[in-house]
Amino acid sequence: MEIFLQYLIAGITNGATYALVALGLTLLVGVARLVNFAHGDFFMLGGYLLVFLFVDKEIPYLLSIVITLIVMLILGLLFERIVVHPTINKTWREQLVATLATSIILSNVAILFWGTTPRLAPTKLSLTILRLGPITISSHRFVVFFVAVISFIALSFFTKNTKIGKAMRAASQNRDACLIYGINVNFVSLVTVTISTMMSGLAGVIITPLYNVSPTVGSVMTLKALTSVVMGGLGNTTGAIISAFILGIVEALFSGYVSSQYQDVASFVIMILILVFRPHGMFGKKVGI
Amino acid sequence: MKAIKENKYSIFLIIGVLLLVSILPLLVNLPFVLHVLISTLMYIGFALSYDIVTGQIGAVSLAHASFFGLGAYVTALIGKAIGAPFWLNIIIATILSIGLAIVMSLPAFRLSDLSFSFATLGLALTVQLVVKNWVKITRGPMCIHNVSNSSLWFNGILEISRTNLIAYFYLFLMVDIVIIILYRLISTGRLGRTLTAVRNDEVLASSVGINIQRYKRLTFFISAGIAGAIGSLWAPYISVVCPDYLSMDYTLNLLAIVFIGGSGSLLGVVGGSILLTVWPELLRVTPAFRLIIYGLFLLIFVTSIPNGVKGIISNVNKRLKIN
Amino acid sequence: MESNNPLLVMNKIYSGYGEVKVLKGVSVDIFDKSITCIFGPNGAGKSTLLKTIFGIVPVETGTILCNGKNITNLNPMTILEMGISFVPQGRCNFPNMTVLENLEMGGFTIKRGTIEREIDDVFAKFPILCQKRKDLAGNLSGGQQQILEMAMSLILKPKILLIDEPTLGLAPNLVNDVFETIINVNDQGTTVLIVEQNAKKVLEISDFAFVLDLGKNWMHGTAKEISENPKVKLHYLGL
Repeated sequence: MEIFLQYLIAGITNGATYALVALGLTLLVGVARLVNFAHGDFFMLGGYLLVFLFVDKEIPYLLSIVITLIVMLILGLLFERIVVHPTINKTWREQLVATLATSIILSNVAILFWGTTPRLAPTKLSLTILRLGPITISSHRFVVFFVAVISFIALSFFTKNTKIGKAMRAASQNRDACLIYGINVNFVSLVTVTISTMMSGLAGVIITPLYNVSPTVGSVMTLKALTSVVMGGLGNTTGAIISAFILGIVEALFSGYVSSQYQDVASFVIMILILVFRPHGMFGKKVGI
Repeated sequence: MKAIKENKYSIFLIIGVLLLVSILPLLVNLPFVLHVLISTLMYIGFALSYDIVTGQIGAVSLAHASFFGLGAYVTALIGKAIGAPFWLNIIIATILSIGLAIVMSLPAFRLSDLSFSFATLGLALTVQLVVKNWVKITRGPMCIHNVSNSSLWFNGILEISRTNLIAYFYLFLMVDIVIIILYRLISTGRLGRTLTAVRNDEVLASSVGINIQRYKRLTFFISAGIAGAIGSLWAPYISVVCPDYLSMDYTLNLLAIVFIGGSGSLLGVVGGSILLTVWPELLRVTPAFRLIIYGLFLLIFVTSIPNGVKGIISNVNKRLKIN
Repeated sequence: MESNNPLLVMNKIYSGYGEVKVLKGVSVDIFDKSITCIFGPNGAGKSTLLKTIFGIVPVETGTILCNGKNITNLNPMTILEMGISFVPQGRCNFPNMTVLENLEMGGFTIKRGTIEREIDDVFAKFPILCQKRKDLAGNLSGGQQQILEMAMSLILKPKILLIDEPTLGLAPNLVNDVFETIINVNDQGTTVLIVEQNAKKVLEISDFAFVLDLGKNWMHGTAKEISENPKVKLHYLGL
């Protein structure tokens, strides 16, 4: 039972990370109708930037996070202008090739800068192990969980209470209608892509004190986020978050009881099963975010 | 970019050029030049095998490197265990690759378009993960070194070894000619005409009784088999087999060749292979740098060409219909 | 009611998608504060005519003037700013947003601060929307959604409202509600251009009518003239 709880806690915090990444992806899918194969690579870059700033340059943790987020914001803007905007009205094939090309560019740029050796950014908190009876948890897991929850609340507040946030929801529910009311879809898409990129990067930043980051982690993360998004129903934010937590927990249990080496396979299998048997997700059909 | 003009004589043009190239090694017998030529020939065959799927059935598979890698590993492992002749290696690699393709097709061909691509990506990562972690057999990330090249003989007639690059060159040249003929047969033969019908109007094709799924799967299996065979030839030449062989990097090389060259066009794919293989080999750039350049090429191509990939595919289709 | 200078003039318009021209020399005059209806068989180019005015379908030749200003081939955003709003055929609301949020989206281009007043105005005109302000648009009935969409377009206080087949797929009792709404909108000073299949009903509320056929003008006049025309009676009114 203790060991089960231990896995469960790991699963929930990993799920929180996946949820951050998946939430960014589902926003993008909902608003821009674009599946971004480079989404996980922004997670990877977030992790590396933290390692670079915090470990290599010894910049304080919080400041490192702020700098990383600013860099992610700039990357998000560039990504929207260079990749998303030119392909937004093209077919899935062009979007696939363009975002996949971006993914390969980003992961190989990471190789050029940081090599292929996995890196970790341990912090004081991540090295502080809490003992709750027989269970041991790194205190950083609480940070992960709370940052994720705060991000969900902030995003929800943003989409429900700001004009541009509401326009994001409008664009995801009925893109054609936006034209009729003069909603600037271009600007909405720019904001969405930037938020999406920043969320993916933030996930990388908060998890790298616990797990290694390596250049190839991007495509694996993209697939996990995709799995959550498809499970949740394309564009359904709540569905994506719940699915990401389920995925994190299933993976942690699989890793604990079956095989840690093949942990990722569990999520790929889930993805394929969902695609084949529940292509509209686990929570019924719903339009938009 | 205007797609390269293609007609029914293009196959003779390409084979003619290849035969011309075939006297090259007799003129310049430099190992480095030969290596560039061999790599290019390998990529021509590999890319053509990939384009059988992208060009003919319009699906973007992201698992093609899995078959290539499987072929390479199978050959390396047979070499370590018994040392079979190369043709036997090829046969075993082809059969196992088709077997893997059959397994992959079970879920993947129940999906279409983007979902097919997701699924193949998931499957490809799974296969790579297995190869990486099954250290007992594959040595995992430590790679298999010194792949037996003694296995590359043909009943004592043709002795091929790593030192005999010219023999490798001719071997790949022959294999390419076989693949080109196969590619042509698939694109213009009965299978090709059926697939064109399916691409043009899937509903109509199925309403006249064409079993679309069967044809699509068949094409996928053939493509996988060829990739396995190429992997089987490549392993002893390059002498090291690593899990990287199954990675997305190889698939991206192919995507770049096929989409920039012109999917569905023999001349386009062969041209793309030459264009995208020769210069990185000549400049000896690192794989990471090479992939960055390919990614940039692809990105510029897809975002700035008005009709993009699809326009070129449909242009090619139009031409195929005219022929 | 009739003034000498029409508010909106379409002069010999050729427009359509790519090489296929749907409108082949259509001319239409819309007078200020009138209701003008357009009907005709399928493929006559009725919807295309509205989309052409709104800048969604490009004009090849011909000019569109609004208040004397040339608005040919301006983009929808600019047309909207000129005071022309469009209620297209099919659902054009945001189903998972509340009625209130939908109205806010309708007024997306309005500056902050004034939008609340505009929405209060709309609620005064359409009490049913005020009642359902917290409901999701997707949960409203078909007729209510149609009214919501008109309200969303009216937030910007347009001079001209273009409406495409507002009663398509509605139950007969809701059709009357929608027509009543259109009369109310017009009474408050908005010029209405409406495309409608239900020629009989729409002629009852219109001042002027245009009948299109195969992308060309077939007939036009006051609604009264048109509804008394024997050919119209035969083809459209089932008399």
